Amino acid sequence: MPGPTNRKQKRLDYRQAQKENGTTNMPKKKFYRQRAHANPFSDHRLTYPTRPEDMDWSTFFPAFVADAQANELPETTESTEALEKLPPKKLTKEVEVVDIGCGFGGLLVALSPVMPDTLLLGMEIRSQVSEFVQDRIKALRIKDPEQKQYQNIGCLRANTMKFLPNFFRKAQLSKIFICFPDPHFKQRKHKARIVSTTLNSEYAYVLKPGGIVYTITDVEDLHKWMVQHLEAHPSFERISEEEQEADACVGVMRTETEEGKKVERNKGPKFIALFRRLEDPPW
Amino acid sequence: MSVPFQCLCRLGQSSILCAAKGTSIHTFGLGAGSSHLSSWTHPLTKQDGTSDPQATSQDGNLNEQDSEQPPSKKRRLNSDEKPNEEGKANQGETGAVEAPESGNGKKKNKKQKPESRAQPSELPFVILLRATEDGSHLVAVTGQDKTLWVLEHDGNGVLKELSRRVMPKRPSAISITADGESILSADKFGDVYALPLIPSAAPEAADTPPTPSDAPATTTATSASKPAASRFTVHSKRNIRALEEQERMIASGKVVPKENPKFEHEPILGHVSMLTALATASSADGRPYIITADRDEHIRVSRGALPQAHVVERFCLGHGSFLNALCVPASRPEVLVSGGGDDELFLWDWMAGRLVGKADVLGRIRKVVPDASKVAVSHIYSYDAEERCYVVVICELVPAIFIFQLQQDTLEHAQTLDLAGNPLDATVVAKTEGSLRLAVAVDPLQSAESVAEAQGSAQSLLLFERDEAGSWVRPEGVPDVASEDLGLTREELENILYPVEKLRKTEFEDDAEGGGSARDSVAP
Ligand SMILES: C[S@@+](CC[C@H](N)C(=O)[O-])C[C@H]1O[C@@H](n2cnc3c(N)ncnc32)[C@H](O)[C@@H]1O
Repeated sequence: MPGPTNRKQKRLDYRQAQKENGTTNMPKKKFYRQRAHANPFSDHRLTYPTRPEDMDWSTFFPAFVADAQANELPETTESTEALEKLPPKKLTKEVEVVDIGCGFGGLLVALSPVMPDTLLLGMEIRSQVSEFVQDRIKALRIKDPEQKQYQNIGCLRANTMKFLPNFFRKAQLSKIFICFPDPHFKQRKHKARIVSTTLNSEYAYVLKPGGIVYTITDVEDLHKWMVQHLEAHPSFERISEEEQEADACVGVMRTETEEGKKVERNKGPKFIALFRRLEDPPW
Repeated sequence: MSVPFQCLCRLGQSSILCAAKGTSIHTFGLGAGSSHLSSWTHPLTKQDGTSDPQATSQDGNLNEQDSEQPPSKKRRLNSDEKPNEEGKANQGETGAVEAPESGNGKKKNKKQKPESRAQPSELPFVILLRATEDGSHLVAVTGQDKTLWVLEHDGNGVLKELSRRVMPKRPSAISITADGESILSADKFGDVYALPLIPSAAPEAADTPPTPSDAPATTTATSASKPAASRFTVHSKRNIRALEEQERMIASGKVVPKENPKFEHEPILGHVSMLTALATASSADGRPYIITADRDEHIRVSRGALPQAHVVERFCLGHGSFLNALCVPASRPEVLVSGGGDDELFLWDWMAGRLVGKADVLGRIRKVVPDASKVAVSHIYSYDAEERCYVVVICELVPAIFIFQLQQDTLEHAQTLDLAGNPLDATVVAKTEGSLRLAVAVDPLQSAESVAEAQGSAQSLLLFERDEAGSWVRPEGVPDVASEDLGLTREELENILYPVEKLRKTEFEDDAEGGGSARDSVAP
């Protein structure tokens, strides 16, 4: 039986190879294991931009990098800070769809062809899991002989509960997915839930009016919690079931996430609720 | 050991200064000379040791409020007070020994978790003081028992305790809204509450004992006595594990129903971070805003009319380390000065979310403490003199005060005021028409070794005058008032007086995970 260090070494070797060789082999989950929970209140060794305009998206979406000339134009409204260092390369479009707590990336991969002209980003707090998704996307891109598919999806490690405004400017996003979030049953930990009055204000900040928050869970009480908190929030209204079922993303969300597939196998229920970002009241 | 004054506040436009010393608040008339007017002491540490909320906290020496009395003739108040042996034991009564915020004792606690470590020796020190614009009311926060006190001021330095409210979490910053009707209280858990300055009439609400729980006061969808899910509704392994754990907790009786404070306290906004500073400000067109700052480098600007406080207007992003102080100068309300763990102060056009400039602090500190390598800004205040706007900066454990002049777009260093000890707080008080005085609370002891020699002689409250050039000069000590012996060791005292550097992030959960990540960067 291999000892723990042996196993760890194997994992590192595998991951290094996966990283360097640009293999079309899909990454294997067993080499990306990590304990189930990361505390969103703790300090993590996270990398995040100080401001959205400092974020270099070019490595995530290389197919969407704007040509060099566009990148040289200096911004007029930049602060002194940005003038000191070179601004990051610009993309032809901005990220518009975010999967919060994307896990192993099933939703991203499935939504990619549904919204080929939109940039989708998965955000995941567990480093091993986010690296799995990055390697998965890389392999999928290489696999496509025309190198066209899966260019519009990316994944990064982030604690969305703290750092969403570091990545996105006000009203940048049109969709936020929250799929099978950790339930945090203990009342003491309710603030750790990914839907709360506090966080809903931040979701409202990064969403444009008319933008949508998609939620799905197999835990009925968590569903009720999310509905209660998003409905009670003045920036959101619940979307009717009719409109919900007509939304192409809902079908994908119901069946394509890894967690959703598990629930499927266990014949569990799935509770879905969508919420629209309202205009802010006059001020 | 005796404790220094640690927290100062001016009462309106008057020449009356409030100064907190340990668990007491003293008022001083600074009109002519300086005279002690009256004091309030936390009931827990009062001489008789009662924590009876009905008992008036006014100490009996009101006849002392003869402001004409020259300082030399002042007697020591409470000189008959004996060391209070019960002080510590009584803490049990208020129950909550609030777990200090993350970082506290990081070195001792390997696993650093925000709000995880209790510190039995901590006393209910006054950690925040704020007066209403007109000086008629004083809001004080005692940290250890998470309590917000409102005291009425009669205009002559006499404080009368009006209410005592135990907050769900320890308040870390407070402000009073422009209309003077509400208190905004930000806490270490990231929430901001609005409370009426004068609690709405509900007598039993005035003194809610703290619950042993640390439940946030927000409403919850599920009751604590029953699990939030059933076997039927849970399917994945991770969820089943979480549910089992909850069932175990309930079976073992560890889940107690949460009791929210009974007084009116509305959560109006929040961060998923420790809030460290709070300011209110108005735009040029008169709209109110609430500016909040957290340990994760964010400054957030929210709408300040309470029903719309959930609307985040913008962020002011640029800091690379924790924030700890915000200041919107009254005469330059379009400007925000911020500071914390970064080497510089940041200057913002907060209505545009635009960084206007920075002012070096570390370089200034090095002229006082040559081997300093980092900055922990504890306070930023502003004052006006001769049509100019100045900013006062205090950095933790630096025995000096830095004065900057706020120019159009820059902060120009104006003076470094060297002190014999570390400043703990400062405020500018009007003396007589036109002339200003800078009151500075100083911790006269620099180290445990010097305790013996410095004993007795050290001045903790200093008053500076302004010379023709605008520099602060000629410090004059305010005669000390005797204080209760709180039975603290020097180390325990420093733990209370110097909380800022502890906000810096030095340990990361990932280090304990041992995940063996193949890469460090966020990029694929
Ligand atoms: C139960 S999984 C669901 C994964 C995926 N959405 C699915 O449906 O298969 C929840 C995920 O959210 C992640 N997560 C929890 N808190 C997070 C946070 N604050 N920021 C980013 N990800 C988070 C967890 O690491 C976990 O992978």
